Amino acid sequence: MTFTVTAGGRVHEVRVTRVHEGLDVEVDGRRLHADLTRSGAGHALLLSAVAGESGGGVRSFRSFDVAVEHEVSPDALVVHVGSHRIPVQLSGRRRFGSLAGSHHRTADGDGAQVITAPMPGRVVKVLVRDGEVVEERQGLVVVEAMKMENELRAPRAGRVTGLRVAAGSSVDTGAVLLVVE
Amino acid sequence: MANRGEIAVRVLRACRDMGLASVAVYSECDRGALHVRMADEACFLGPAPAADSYLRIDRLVEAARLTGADGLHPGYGFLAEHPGLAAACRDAGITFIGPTPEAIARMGSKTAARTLARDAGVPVVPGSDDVLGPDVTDDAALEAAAQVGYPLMLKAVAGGGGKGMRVVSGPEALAGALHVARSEALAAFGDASVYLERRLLRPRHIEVQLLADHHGTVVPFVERECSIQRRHQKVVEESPSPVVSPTLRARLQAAAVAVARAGGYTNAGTIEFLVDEHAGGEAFYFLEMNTRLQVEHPITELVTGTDLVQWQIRIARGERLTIDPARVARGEGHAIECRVYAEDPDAGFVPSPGVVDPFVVPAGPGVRHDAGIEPGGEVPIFYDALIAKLAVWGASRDEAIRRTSRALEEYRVGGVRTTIPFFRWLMVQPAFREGAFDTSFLDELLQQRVGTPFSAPEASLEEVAAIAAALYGAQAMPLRTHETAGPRAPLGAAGRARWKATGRMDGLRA
Repeated sequence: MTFTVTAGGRVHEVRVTRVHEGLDVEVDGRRLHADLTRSGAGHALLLSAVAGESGGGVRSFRSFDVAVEHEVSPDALVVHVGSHRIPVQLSGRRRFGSLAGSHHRTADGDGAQVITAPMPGRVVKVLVRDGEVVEERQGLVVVEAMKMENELRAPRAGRVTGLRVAAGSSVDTGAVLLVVE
Repeated sequence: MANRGEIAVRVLRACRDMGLASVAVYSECDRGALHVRMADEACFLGPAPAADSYLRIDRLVEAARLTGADGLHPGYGFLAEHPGLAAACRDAGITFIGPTPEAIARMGSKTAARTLARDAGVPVVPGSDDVLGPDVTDDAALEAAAQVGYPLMLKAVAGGGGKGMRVVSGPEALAGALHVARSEALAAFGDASVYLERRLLRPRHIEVQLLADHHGTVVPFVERECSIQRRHQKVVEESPSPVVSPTLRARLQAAAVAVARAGGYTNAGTIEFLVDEHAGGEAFYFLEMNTRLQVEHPITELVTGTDLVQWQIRIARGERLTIDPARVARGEGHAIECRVYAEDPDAGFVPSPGVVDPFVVPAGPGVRHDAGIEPGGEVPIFYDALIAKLAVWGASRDEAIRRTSRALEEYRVGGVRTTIPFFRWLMVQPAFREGAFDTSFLDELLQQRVGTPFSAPEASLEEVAAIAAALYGAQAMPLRTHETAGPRAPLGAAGRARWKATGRMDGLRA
């Protein structure tokens, strides 16, 4: 199976093949032998060059601690390598029905900006009215969570519509607060 | 133990160390929390919001009565600096493990504490002694501010921990800052009153821990450097300070003892100072006294080999301090603490509540880890997002920094975002390594790098991430167990997922 993987802004072609004693991984044309074992908080991933494996039965690997978490959509993953958290785009994967359609995102670019609660909390203050024209970075709503007040600002200039919350409302992560058109 | 989270766990450990039976308290959402199981008994307080549980003096005292507890430790935060809890304990015949309610009230009013320090011959930050209560108009505040001069600091009279604090650069910003500071102060301390203080140019925040027994002995400890702050909240502390000379150390300690004595202080407390390196002659000013155990107490314990919590309990029992003052005034080696929060450093440090899984923490030489949660535990939205404190000791400051970096690499934390990548970045900043910083240092440095992720690892690790993602896509590797099986699921579920993945792998033969 071949995948196109984007990590840290670089695009990699990764081909995975199962061979008799493990996994064969080809990264951008470079062949590696991979050994994957479940361990601790995820998996131990051992990588070695395929060439030079003909020693006296001893193979040297580079070793990593890896784990995968889903985020946003089936193609956008978060991979942990050691204590590092690395967002990754994965394409070329076979889809399984249940995973598709969980896609949720707010509008981006020049269109209407849906302002959602970044975390569960309580609306302390609403700084704008429906229909009000706002500047980029102008404060819109103040949400309090964990004793900290967080001011949500307009990602771009526009007009406030669909204001759904008032001071005192409780909101969950992703709850739509208002829209900047 | 009238608190939750890591500090409850810390104090319960001291109880176990001393062979004392202990009682935990908990709110609705803390039923399964680590601290509840670390105690011999536990009492339910009420619903999750702190106002209905951890801030209920009546229920805490009732819990102590019900279980026959003869002492109550308040931890930090919540009611630790509320004279009402100390007084209620005294009325109920329960020993409050801390100072008297009178001493808490005296030092708890920041304006009264300033007067007390000044009378004890200790310099204070120039400012106004007038309290701006909730009924003081913006115009009256403007007048008081004009006398202090800009830039100035608005601070909560009942404050502490950076809450209810705002910098005001000029008169036009005063009304807005006053509103925010008052509402934060009201929410955090139940008192909206604030006061004004001149803002010093680039001071360092340096504090002196002390212990005082009921027999007149006051012992000051080697100082803690707490200048690394984000929006007035300490994030990294170290001991000793990289810039305090033996002479300045002696002067700070003498001033701390003078303030404690003037306040009739007993038990553990901390005197905070601002040190102005640029004023010449190592000028320092009394800032405030914290009448409780501090979050950052572990670094003092590491450099002095002292268990401050055990001493709090022993002092409360009436024992005499038998610590060698010369030893703890100097300390040995160097210690650094990182406050690990469930916050996303790449999104302006917004809180990141949720189920923490996995949660693998550092260990090994010189590493002390104080956590309030465990793998599969939840960071609730109702309380402070501090999940752990990493405290590291080294023979030198350099060794302590390198060890901290090493320890940070050992964390494996998922489910929530944490400030760990931020600490990893901070440990290699040249100014931090040189010890050249002040209280504005971190905010300014963060301002310069807005939009740059802290978690950016080197390219070789990104390639490994790409390989891991492909192995996952090829179903050679399942998701982390908490994603596939849910939190606290039986181990069997994860095992089955693995079998399924292995089964699918058979179709992959080249």
